[in-house]
Amino acid sequence: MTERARTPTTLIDLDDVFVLYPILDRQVAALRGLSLGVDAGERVVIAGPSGSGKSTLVSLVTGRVRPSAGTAVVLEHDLTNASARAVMALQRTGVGVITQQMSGNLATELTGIQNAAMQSRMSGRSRRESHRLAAEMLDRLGVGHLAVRPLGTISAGEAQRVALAAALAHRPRVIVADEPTGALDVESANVVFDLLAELSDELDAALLVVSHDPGAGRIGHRVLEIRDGRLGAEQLAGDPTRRLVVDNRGWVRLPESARLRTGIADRAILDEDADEPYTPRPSPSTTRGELVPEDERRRVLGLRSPGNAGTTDLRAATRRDAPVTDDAEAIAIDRVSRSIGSTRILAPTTLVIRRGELVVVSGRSGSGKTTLLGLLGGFAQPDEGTIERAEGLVIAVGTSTPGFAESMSVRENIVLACTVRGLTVDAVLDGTIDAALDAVGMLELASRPVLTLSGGERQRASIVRALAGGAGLILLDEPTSQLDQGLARRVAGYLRASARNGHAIVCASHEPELIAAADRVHSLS
Amino acid sequence: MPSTTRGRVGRAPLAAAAFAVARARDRPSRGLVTGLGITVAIASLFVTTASPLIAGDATLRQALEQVAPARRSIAVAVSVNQQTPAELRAIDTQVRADLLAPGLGAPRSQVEYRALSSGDGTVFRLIGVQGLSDVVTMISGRLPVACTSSHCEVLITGTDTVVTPQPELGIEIVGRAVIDDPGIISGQFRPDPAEVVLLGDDVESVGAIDSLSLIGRSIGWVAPIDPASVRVADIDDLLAAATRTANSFGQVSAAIDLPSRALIEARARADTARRRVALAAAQGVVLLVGFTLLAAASVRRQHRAARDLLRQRGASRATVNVFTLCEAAGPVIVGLVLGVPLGLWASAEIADRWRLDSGDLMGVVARQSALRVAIGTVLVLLATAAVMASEPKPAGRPRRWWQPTAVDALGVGALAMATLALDRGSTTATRLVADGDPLIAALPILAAMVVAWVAVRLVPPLVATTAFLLRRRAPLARTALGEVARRPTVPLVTAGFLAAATTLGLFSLGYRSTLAAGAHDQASFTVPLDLTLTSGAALVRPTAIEPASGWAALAAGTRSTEVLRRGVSVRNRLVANDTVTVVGIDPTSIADLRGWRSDFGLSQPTVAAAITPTATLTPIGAAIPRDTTQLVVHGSGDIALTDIAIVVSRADGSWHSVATKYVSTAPDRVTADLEPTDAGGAVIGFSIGQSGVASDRVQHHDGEGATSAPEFTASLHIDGIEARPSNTAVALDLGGLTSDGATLADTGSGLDLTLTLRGTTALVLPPTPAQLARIAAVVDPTTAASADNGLVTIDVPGQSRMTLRVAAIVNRFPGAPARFAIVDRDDIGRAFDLLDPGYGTPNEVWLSVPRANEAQLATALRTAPYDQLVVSRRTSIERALRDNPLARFTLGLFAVAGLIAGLLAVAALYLATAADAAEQAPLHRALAAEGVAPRALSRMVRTSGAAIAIGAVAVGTVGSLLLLRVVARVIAVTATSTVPVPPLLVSVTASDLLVGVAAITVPCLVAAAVAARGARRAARGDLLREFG
Repeated sequence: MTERARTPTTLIDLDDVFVLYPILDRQVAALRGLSLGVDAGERVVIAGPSGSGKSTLVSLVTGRVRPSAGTAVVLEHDLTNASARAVMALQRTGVGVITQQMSGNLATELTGIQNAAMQSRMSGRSRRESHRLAAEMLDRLGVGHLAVRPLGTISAGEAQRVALAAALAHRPRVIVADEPTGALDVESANVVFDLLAELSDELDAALLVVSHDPGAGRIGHRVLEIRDGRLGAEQLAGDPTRRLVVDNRGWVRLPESARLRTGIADRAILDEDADEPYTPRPSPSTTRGELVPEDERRRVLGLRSPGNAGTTDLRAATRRDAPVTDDAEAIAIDRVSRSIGSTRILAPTTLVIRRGELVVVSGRSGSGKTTLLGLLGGFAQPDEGTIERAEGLVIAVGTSTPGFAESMSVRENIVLACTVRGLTVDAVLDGTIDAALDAVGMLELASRPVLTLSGGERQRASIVRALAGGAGLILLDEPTSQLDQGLARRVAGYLRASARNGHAIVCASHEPELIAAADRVHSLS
Repeated sequence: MPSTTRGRVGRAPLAAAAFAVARARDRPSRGLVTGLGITVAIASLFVTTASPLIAGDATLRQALEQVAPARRSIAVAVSVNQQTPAELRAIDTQVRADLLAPGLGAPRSQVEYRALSSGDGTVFRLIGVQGLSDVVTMISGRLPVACTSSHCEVLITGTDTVVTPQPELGIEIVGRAVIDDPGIISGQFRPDPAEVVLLGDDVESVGAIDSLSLIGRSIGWVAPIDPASVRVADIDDLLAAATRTANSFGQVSAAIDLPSRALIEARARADTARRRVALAAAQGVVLLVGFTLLAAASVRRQHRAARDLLRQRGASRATVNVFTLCEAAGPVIVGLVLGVPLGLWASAEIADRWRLDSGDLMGVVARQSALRVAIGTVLVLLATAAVMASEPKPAGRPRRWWQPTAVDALGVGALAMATLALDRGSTTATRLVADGDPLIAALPILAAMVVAWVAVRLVPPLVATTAFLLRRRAPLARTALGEVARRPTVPLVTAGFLAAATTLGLFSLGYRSTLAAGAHDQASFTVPLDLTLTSGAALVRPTAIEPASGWAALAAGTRSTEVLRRGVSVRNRLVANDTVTVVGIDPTSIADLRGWRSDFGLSQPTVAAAITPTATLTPIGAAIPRDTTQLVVHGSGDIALTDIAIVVSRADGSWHSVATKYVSTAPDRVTADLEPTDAGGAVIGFSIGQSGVASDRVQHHDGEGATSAPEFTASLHIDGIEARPSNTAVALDLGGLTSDGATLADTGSGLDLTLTLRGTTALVLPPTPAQLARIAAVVDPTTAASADNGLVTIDVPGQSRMTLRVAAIVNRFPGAPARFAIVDRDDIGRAFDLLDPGYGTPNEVWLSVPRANEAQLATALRTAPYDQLVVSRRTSIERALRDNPLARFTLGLFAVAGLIAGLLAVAALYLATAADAAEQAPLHRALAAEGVAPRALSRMVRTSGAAIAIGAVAVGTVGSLLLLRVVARVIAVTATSTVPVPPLLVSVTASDLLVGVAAITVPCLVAAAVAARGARRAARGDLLREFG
């Protein structure tokens, strides 16, 4: 059963798609009966927790993976049966892709215009024609000045605009954006989202945006939530109501007889404030309703309730805990600034971080958040101003793209970090590591080699690693950029709880969940 | 449905190529290192192609220069009595056309009459030479200017020869000259160098003198072979030219003379060398392929990211593959651009050093190498591209090290193939010349595969064990080693390549050392001391010329030892006879042997002690008075029908039989005239055979039957022996004599002998302790294997048999071939003499002399009477072997091969460590953020590089020793491409091995350290970039 009836303008049509891939010794189903249709000119935002199958959906639509079962039709190419040549032709001319990683979008060895013209040239256009189209798109996106610059030194925001140009210069009919604003602040992210919306309208293209950024929903005609490889919920533009997908392939599945009895066709509205959790309100396609069994209801609610994130109510915990700071300063900077060449990348900043505090440094992209972390950590020197660190202060850093000994397990990597910090093995094996992993939802993965982890899982492991070494000052750069809202909230709670144990934690982030959990937010202009 | 085929085909690949160029320009270092590696490999292909050509040409030139100048040509001679001038002109044209070949000079013709006689009876020859003025130097008179059928002006050769031709011959001598060109009027054109030669100018006119029209004559053509320009590749053309010329005469018999043996031997050696170069060339190929694949593997991750980007941009598979090919082609192009000129330049330099025409040679090298290099380049390019483009394994649980992989199949397969190949037996020089041998090229490849497999199998557990042992003390090192052990693709490829390169590098150096030691052995085994003297054409024994004590007088400090060398038969277990050389030597001289090596099995003193007899030989026989010239044997019985010889030991100890004469007028005696050297000797016994009369009777019986005796039977009574002229009795103890062929009875007044013979001889001699007690012998392992209960029975020529006792076994013995029995010279001499008088006489003399006096001794030995002997000098042989072009090239080639293997190994480890540093950069950055010092990070990378290097070099070292042993056994060819005598024995000392291992390991560790510095820079740079 398809999500919607297929029409002549349907550019993406997925029906009951399964995608399996091997991990460790078994096959894992990344998509489990997903059905989705996207029409020309339609903008669909896909949300969902880490590991729910969002990236696999992107790979499927862009033809990089084939369905293991079901049908996937993109631009009238049936990807299940299409020849490799046809799929490549589709990728070349019909699809434009933007990803979060700069290395996935752009070749730093090439200039802006060469990157932007690449897909046109791949489709056989002449160099002149390709460059003309690319130049138009770069200008359109406000980065025309980067046309002849190598891309090794440009900022993240600029890189993402060039990446947009590279993905759209050849005028595709299907645009797929996978976390296109992961490294951008809210303001920059909004600009990118707006540009995506404008350009997809101009091209009459189907736009599929995969993002856990709440701002993405602003441009979507529909926001779909994926859970466990299936459609979980749907929200239409201008309608605050979230409709659970309750057909026999959605995340919440009900027997057809029950749905018929209760008047639910394939959507149901979740009323979180009602005494009865589910009200059989008719969705646009619903005529009858049915009560959801109690145990299923509890499970759904348990997962979705803001106040019941997993086994620990971290938000409640953070509300209860007051800062335990005894006014001991971990680090203090006074009118510190930094420039590269003639460009000022951090305006004069004064900040005092005390033990027991969780401080979030926010600000738009390019405002100097990461540079400030570098100065706090001693990785860069200020042009002016002073930095005073507490005597014997040990600093740990978590980067936005953490590195690991890939063949070692999560736990081994954390033990390694503790060991190089000089902690004894007994100290690192007394259960504190596992407790920390449990707090961020990683305990089950503690023995897995890191090379099998997803980006979000790595990010959580790196947070635990930074905190496990007993450092007094923890600097974390965008620690939740690859996490969904629920996990971000959970991690924020863990960070706050860790701060209460005497750590001074500074996060550079624009993550609302983290900002909400912070003791202080230092905003950079 | 949107169009999916816009634009023109071909633009996308161009864009992909431009992308590849941009990437290469942006990060050139690794591509350059890879390109330099390929450069070295390609250059080595050229050098390995050029080397055998150069070596062959140098060998040919050396061989031709050793040929007498007069014979350094193709000479054709034909009798032309009946031909008309026109026919002769046609033959001349034909021969000149046939004698066109590279390396041959323009043929010069000559006509030669049979020997003529002058009026005074002086014999002379008249020869007409084409272009006379070019081949003579005038002494007096003038050059001939006219030669007609009735009057012909000629020159007389030599400075003092005189001849006056009869006037009616019409020959006028107008001048005197000497011949400058040794190639003409030589060989078959001048059978007697003492003859007087008259030279006329021009062949046709001298051949048409009317007065000599009835005299037989020959026309000849001499085409000189120029050693400086003839090449091995030309030999077939030269031989073909000679064959064409011979065939062109049809029914007319033509004589062709050329130094074919020298030519063919030179070519055979060059072919052998060329085929053995396959050993080094195959190494080059293995290393080239391995290195490029490793280089490709080290950049695979980065390359995959670029391919993914292209795919994301919709590049077709073909376009992506074009991109990969372009990326792979970069280093290959660098290698070609640098390697081809470098290889040609190196080859030209080598040729110039050997004074060969490098321009001509380079053409041949370029032609022969072009296809090889082209095919190799394409294959390397495709293989590199395939590795770079290969899909990484999906994330999964790391494979356990013991789990089988495709590498195991390859390794086991290579091992099986090598075993089967080796089971075929050894490759000899003959086989190499005849048909080549794929084993030569296959061995290094198979060995490299097996060693790489072993390294791939062993290094992970070794590294994991090391990591385990380090677990708490060095967490970073442990982490680095753990990553090597658990994510092993590039590290294991590196370990495999490094082990293979180490094997091939050390093998090359070891094989070079073995060949060099083989040459030393060859010289030492030919001449165990400093000089060896043997009988020459005159068959005069050295011991007959000079007593043992006399050699010291030729040069101060000269010491000598007499040696008895005899070939005997030993029955092996297959009931067939093997030839074993019995070497009788003075045990005390064993300590002086030059070529003794510790790996022979026993030390020199042990061997000497093993063959030293426990008791000295007791003198036997009865002394002959010094003035004795004749011995008389008094006796009775069938004296007339027997041939009685007296066995005499000369004064110098050598034995021989002195025949007696029977005179019917004195039937009670026979007399024997002694040689001067017998005086002062001793009578040992008798040798008794049947006389001619008795033989005739037996033959008559055989032919007609029953008319005479069927066999010779005689009864003798010997009363005693008298010496003359002193008429004194020789006190021979007749009662102490024994015989195998006669029945003896001591009568008190003499000796009764009864014997039956049929064409044989009975010896009547005393027994000796040596004969009774089994002579101790040191033998080779094969001969020892044929022993029965420790005894080896040998058949001495003359149907005699004796037994040796195996006292010790050694692998080889200087001065002896592969099968030998070394015995005490006096014991074996006595025993041989008792079996066959005279057979036990020493027939060689080995001399040692201080180096300063060696030239003096050599000079003395060139004078009479020593010039009758064949003198072999160890230093001369060694120098000849050392200076042999093939040997020099062979040794040089393997030295270069070893060097290249080492260089590629170092480059490979650098690339792998750099790749490891790049791959682990995120981890390093994380650790740096944890406070780990940059120095510790580079130490971490260095640790993994060093672990791979040490493990792989250890495996490779063992592999090289095994390969060396195998190759030395199965490729029985010396550095000069001949059969090694003695057989090659691996010659690598522990110190050599240590130096070789260090020469690979230390640069590898340095390369790892240099590459690891990148980790320090990268981690710091990443952090600064990220946070700065």
